[in-house]
Amino acid sequence: MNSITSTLRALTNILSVSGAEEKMAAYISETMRPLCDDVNVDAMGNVICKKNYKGAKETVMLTAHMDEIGFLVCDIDENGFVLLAPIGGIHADAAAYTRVKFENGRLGVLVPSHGTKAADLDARAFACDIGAKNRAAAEKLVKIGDRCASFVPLATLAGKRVTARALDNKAGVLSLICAADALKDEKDMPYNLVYVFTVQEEVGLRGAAPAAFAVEPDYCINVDVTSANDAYGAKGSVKLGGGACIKFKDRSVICNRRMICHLQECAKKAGLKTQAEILSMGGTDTGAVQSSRAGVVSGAISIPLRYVHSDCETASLYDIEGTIALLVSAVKTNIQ
Amino acid sequence: MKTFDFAKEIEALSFISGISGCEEKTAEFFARRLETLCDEVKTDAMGNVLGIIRAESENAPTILIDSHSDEIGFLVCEHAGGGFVRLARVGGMDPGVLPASEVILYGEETVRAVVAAKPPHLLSAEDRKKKRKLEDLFVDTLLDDETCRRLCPIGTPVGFSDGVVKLAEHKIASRGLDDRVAGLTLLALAEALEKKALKANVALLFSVQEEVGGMGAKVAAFGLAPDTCLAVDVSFATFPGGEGRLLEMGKGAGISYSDTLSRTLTRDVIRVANEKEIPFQLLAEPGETGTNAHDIQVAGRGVASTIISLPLSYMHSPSEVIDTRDLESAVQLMKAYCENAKFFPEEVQIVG
Repeated sequence: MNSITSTLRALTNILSVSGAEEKMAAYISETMRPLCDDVNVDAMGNVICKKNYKGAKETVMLTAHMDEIGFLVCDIDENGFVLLAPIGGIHADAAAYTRVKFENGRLGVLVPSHGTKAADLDARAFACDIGAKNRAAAEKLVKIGDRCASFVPLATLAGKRVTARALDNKAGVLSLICAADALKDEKDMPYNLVYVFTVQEEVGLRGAAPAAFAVEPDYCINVDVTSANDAYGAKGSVKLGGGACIKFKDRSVICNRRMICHLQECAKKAGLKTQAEILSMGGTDTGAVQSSRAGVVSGAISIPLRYVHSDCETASLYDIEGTIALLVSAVKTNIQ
Repeated sequence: MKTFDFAKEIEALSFISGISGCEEKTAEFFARRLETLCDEVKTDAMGNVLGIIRAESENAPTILIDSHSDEIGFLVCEHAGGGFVRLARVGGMDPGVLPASEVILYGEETVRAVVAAKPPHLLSAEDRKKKRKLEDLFVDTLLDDETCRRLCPIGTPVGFSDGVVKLAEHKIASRGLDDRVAGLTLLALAEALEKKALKANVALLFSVQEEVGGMGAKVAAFGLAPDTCLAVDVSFATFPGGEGRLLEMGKGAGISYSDTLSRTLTRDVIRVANEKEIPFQLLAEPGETGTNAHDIQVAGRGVASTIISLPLSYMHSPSEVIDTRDLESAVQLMKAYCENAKFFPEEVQIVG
């Protein structure tokens, strides 16, 4: 395995706007194949990786969504401006006047209508200037249905912190890959593991439910990001560098107490510093999996992230390492 | 290929009601027609009709083609006395299209009625400014109170007036074309398919309750567990003052890209259309798309789904307008897809 930072750089360099996750799926499949028994892509595009252990009966499903927010090309006007629709929770103020990249490598700048005041910015009303002089020229470069997203590459900040686009949820994807690597040669495991990298989380938790239906797990641990409350001007308890967060609830789920207690116990035994997370905005795949079939005992580990859904999402490698360590410990220990 | 007379079939359907939750008559119309065209026809607990045409090979994958058999309308929710009734909405509806229109109450007997409207002479300046609300509108059955209560009890389905108006250049206006013209394209497809050319089973679904949340398609897709799905539904055609990219009438069916659908499948349908030189119009629709494809995509263990859109003007009104040439090209497109589909993930190349 490469270092955490270089894998995270590779992941954040891949565009995977919801509904167009194929490149990410291909990268993950290739990375996971040597770490698992079986890697499959289902009808929706979810990557499902199975790792069986001798003697294990029950299954723990580990999930992380691999899609990211971005834009969809809906039309091209007579002046060659590419008209876009937002995919997922785009913050219009963060997206205005940024550079974006299309899947075919074409670059452009994201602009609101001339003279729009800051307070009136609307992500549904952005155009992309790709440098085309008219519609015919633009149609040669970009097609209706194409996706684009920010492409700010990863940079290392002080104190083991990194900033990049789409750390939501490439940091979660990284955590599952690293856990799989750490667990690949384990002999005495209480559970079979299924790593699932889901599609379409940002547009309504759509990938996780069918995947959970197919896998039929007994337990699920989801890994996603959560808002760090120590961002500039923010209030709340979750801190960047404060360790992995054990989720109690968000808008999609109230985690099963059994899983919350299990994660807390495992963290304590492994000497890992953790934080409690109660997210008032946003949902996660945890909710979609928990309500699958007759119900799945579900919980989540969240990576604190500042400036969520912007070009400059910022995370701490310390928290990511803590997330990986907690995941590994949680699946090696019997759930009470 | 025998030609399918869409104009005639649309007219026949216009006299058959299918308000969401009360689709039995429409379902029966489609089920009966499927009997001679399919290997198997079944109606499930919700009222979904499913006709299956099997490929000759045993382990063939299954393509689901969905249309919804329900149409928007109303239910009688209150008797206001004197033969007047109030309506509750079934599906999305702008009450502004209602005053003075003819409606049909499908009660113990079929009762024709009109929506009461104040003549313009009597409207006050304030009345003119007000947006019409359904709660403020009354249907005048012109029956006495007792007969009205007996023939049209609470819960009676109500639809717009029946019949069709044939317009210029292959265009027809009628109520309830959304989405029953799609059902007709499925019948035409069943007639056009040659069993020998099929490498996949083709399941034709006439699903209930799309207009009120897609519940019918959701359970039908779960029961069938198909490999891919084309949901055939109507989409907005251009009109004066219409904003954004809309479909043009007579230029072929729409094929949509969306963040919530399968891009692999959408690309495969486009590939087939290009190879067979079938006209189509490309759309990108972010979000829920307002079609059954949204629900079928996540049914069971997931179904690669996309939308085939039929251009339609004046959706959810008494005068929805369709161009029969678009229905014909949609049938061609679906036939070509059924005969040439590639299946995810083995056969379809993942491209940038």
